[in-house]
Amino acid sequence: MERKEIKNCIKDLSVLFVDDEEIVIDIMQDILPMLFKKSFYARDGIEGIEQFKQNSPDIIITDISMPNLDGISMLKTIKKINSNIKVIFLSGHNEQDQIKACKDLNGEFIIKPISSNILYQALGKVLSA
Amino acid sequence: MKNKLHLLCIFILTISINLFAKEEKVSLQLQWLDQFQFAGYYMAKEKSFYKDVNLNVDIKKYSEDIDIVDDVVNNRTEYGIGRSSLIIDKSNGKDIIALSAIFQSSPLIFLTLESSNIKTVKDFNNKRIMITKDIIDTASLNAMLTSQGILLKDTIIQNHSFDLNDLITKKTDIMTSYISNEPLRLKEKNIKYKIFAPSKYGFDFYSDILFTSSKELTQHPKRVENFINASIKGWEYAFNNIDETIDIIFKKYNIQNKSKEALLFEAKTLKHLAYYKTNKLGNITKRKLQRINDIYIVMGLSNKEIDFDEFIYSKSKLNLSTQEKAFINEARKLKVHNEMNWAPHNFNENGIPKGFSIDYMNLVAKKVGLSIEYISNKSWDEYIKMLKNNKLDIMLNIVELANRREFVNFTSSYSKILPSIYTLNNNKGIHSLEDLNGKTVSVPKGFYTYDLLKKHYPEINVITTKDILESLHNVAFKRADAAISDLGVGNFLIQKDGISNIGLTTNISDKRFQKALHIGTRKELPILRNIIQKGMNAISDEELLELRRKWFGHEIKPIYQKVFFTKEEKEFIQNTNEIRMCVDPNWAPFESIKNNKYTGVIADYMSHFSKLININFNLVKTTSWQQSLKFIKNKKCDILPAVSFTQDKFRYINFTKPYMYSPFVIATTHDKNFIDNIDQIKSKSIGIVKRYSSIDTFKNKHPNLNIKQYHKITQGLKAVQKKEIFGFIDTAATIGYYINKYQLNNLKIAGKLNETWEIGVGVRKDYPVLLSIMNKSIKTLSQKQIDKISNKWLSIKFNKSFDYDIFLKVGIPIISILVIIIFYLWNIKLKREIKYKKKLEKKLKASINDFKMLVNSTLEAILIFDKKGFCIEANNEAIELFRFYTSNNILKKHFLTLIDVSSTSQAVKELSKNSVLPFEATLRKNDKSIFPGLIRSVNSTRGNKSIRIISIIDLSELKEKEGLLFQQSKLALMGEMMSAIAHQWRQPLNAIAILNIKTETLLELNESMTSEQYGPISTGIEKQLNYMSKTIDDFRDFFIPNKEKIDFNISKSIEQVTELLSAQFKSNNIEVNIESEDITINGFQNEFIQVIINILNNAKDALKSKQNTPRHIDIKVIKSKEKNAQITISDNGGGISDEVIEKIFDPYFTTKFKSQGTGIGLYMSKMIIEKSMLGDLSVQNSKDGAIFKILI
Repeated sequence: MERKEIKNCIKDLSVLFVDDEEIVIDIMQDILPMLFKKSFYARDGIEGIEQFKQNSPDIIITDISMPNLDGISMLKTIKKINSNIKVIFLSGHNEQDQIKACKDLNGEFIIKPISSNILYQALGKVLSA
Repeated sequence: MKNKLHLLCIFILTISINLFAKEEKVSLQLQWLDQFQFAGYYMAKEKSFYKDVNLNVDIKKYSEDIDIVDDVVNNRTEYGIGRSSLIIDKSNGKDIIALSAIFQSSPLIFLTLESSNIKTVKDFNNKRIMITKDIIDTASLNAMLTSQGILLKDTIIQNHSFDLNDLITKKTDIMTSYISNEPLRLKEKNIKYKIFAPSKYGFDFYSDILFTSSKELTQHPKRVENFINASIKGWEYAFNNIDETIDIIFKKYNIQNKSKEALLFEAKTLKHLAYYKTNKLGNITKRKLQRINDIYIVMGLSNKEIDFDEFIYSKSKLNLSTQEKAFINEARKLKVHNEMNWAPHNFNENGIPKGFSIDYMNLVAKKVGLSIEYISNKSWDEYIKMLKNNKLDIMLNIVELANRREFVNFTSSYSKILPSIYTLNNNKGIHSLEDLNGKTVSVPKGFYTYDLLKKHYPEINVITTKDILESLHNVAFKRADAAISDLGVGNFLIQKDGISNIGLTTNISDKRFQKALHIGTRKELPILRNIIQKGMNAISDEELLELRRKWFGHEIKPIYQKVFFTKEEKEFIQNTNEIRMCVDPNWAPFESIKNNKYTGVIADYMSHFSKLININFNLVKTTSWQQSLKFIKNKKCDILPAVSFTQDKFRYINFTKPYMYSPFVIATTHDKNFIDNIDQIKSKSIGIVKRYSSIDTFKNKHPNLNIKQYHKITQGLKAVQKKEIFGFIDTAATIGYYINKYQLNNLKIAGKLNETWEIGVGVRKDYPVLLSIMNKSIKTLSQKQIDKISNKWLSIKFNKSFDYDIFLKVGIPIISILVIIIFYLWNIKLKREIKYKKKLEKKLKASINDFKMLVNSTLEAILIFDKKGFCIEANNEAIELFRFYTSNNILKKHFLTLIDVSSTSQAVKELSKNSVLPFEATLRKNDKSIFPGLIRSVNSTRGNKSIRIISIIDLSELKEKEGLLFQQSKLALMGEMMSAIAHQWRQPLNAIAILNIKTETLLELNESMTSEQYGPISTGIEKQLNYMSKTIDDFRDFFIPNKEKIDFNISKSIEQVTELLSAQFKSNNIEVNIESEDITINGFQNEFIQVIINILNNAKDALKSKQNTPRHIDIKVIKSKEKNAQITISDNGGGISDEVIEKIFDPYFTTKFKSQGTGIGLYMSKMIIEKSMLGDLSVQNSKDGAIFKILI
């Protein structure tokens, strides 16, 4: 999918962004509303589950290593509520175990620092899946 | 990253295996108070040898009220330590297993003062002895006394006071003591003493036997093996590291408050006893135990024979797998092939399978616990077919052939066969198989010989039979020209079956026929082959040898246990009411008439025969042997129970085969040399008792002997005493008996002769039927029965109580046999000593050369200087090191010319100290080049001149390495820095990346951007970039070594470090807690920070592999009493394994692989803290993890 198509596609969707870095949330709060219909934010896995239950977003973008509950564990719980949820994982570490866990959850895996190209690629993949 | 984690996991896993493997608790009961006597066990515990095999051993202290054997048998303790008297416990039915004998000889000795003038054991006569009443524990001492003709009743026995002063103050003359303790105390007091050790007289009793119950062995064989191995390892360690061991005993196991000197003496003495006549620590042999038991029997302390195979722990492990064990448990009786006529390998007699292979198979089955049944009455070919059809499980004595492998699994071979050709006796001219071309050869059907003949000797006509016996019959009855059979089998069958017209012609030299015998199992059951192979592996050489001896040895034991009498013989037995015996009335211990009764070993043999043929043997009383001979001549009696063959007697009696053997010895006065060959004495006059047939023997064999005959043995011995004759020959037992009985103290048994006196039964000439009856009866005697008779006879006498009177009369002859053995051993020892001395001389000569070679072969340069400092000798290394090329060049050089000016004053100062401690200096070679060296100087004298020996080690290489080490450590630090920076940068990089996405997104939306929109983005990027460059600066600062010491705050420095590493901790979910007092010290701050980084990195790596638990590192900084500050850094990463913990500060030690660590970090940390900051860095384990402690 072209970037344009993706943009078209996501502007009607809602997104949940989970990351424990305050600065990252800060910036994302500026970016995501420009792209998605609705955006929600959480700072760890537990908050992420709450947000998901309240808002049932279409897409989740989440960091993996977070305090309290990590991204992978969070998604395992969310999958029980919505097994088709589309998800993109962000990670600072290129570790096979993590990648495999993400694939097992039908998620895309992106290594930080992220670039827009890769982010759109990942969005394209989860949308067409 | 992934790799690193993985490897760390492995590392931690190995630690956790150690931690989580189930540790088994067992206990070991000591038999005396703590001392070096048990050093091996302490060290096995201290050095974790037990722990390494997952044993947690409780070493139980000695207390007076324990019964160790009872405790072990009743599982109150798993292992115990006992003395040789365990043999007696075993014979009394205690189910114990001897595992290992630590001391090969008992430390128990007699101790006397030199001033008491007791020179030999014989001097003990009428002396006061302090000895405990425990006759079992003092058996070796007793045996030594008795062997020297001293009985305890000849001495004055005193109660043992256990006070050495009683010996010193002459309240007693002789005291039983421990060679490892008391002598030192006398030595310390400068009192001269003398020791009488039983081992010197050939009585080597084991002391400190490690033992367990047979229950423990059955239930935990692996544990037993581990325990022995770890204990022996402990002992080896203790003996090889005596000083360290003593330190530990002194500190931890010193209930007796022994001094270090006493422990050292004990250690050295016990080491000697542990390796006494063996180089295998813990060695325990059947033969030695047997000998100890024999002595116990003679002393009347034991009355039973013991199965020592059962008593001694056997290391021959089966190592059966679980599957194999299950197979054995579930297996039905396995069918094994038993041939009719393949003696002595495999045959059947009266329905009973017999033979070497059968015994071997039984042994294997017993070892592995398989139950078997034999299938008999089939031909070889039928057995092969049965094996193919799974109707037979095991084939014995089968040759491995390629075509057989299709249906047989073969074990390794257990015997060889020697194929031979049998023909009619008069058939000459057959020397090989080729000579049989065109002739007919008979072999059993299906035998390997058949295949080979067909294949390689097509011109031979082969006819097949059902077995070898039939093949031999074919030859005997001329249906075939030859038969091929194993030599042993052929000879056996010919003899047994009386096929007297055929015989062995030649053995087959064709190598293809020389095969080995295997055990074959049926193809479909490979597991069975493996089990049997393991059973075969467990058969000891001793066992195999015994079987071989039984079936192929010189004395093939009679296989017929029942006597088959002929019709004639049976009639004789039926018609005879009694057999009259004439005996030697005065020939104890063999036979004698006592209280009108016939008694002695021979009397028992006669009663055995009497029972066997069911006729009474009645004694015809005589007063002398001569009279007995007359009586049988005159047919007043029928047999002489004990007589040996002479031509003279053969005129009136027939002789049976001998059934008893006794060696001849020669008695001389003390001043004569030992004799080991009768030819040494050929010109001398020798006495012999007239009636003895020995005269004939000696006259025939040694016609030059000058023999004088005496009527009585006492006369002959007296003649020796009076030096009328050189020596007197008789049997060992008789001479020993008389020497002791008549106190002929100046006589000794000077040697054992090669001649053996054979005793058989003499039968009156006109009773040939009785002769054959007696011969058949003798044939029934097995070695076992012979042993039984003599043992029973001896033990009955000693059984009731220790009666010295009986002992004197009966025991002395046996003791005399011991005496002979001792003399014999002495003789050997003397010879050895002479040899040894010659060797020493040679060695001395060689050692001078050796010394030169040694000096020249060392890596050190060694120079010898005279008093004035001029070189008078130098080894090759020194000449080379200083580049002098020949020794002449270096001689006469002054020491200081070898030292660089920069080091001269230091060297002079060091040398004037006269210390042996080495020092470093810069040295100068002949070519003026300089190098760093380590110098060690020792003052000595040669002749009467004082000299100085200087050894020098070239340190250039070492220094180079040291430099390299520092370089590597720098690289390592760089690596760590990179890694820390990478972590630290990840977050700001990500932030910048996202800010970039924000920019992109804004531009995509609006195609342009206002400065209002870009402002925050720019600020954000700048903030992140600042953070990133600060990180680099911080790291760079810390990694540049400080040139000068500065005051710095410890807690602030630590906070800086944790800040630097915060990203790494966070990404690994590690919580770092700092608890710090405000302490400022003076030193190299950056180096200190490097150390902290290093330790924290190690902690982080350990924690990373710990899953599912909160990970934390706690740093505490407190004021220290010894130094300024104490810093502890503890983690909960599981700790460092024991194997590793001692080595982690070694350079290049790493648990990580090359790519991950250089192994230099902790080494450098230690160097920094201890060398440049004069502090202390150490590590220990807590229950959760490792604790690094820095004192600074």
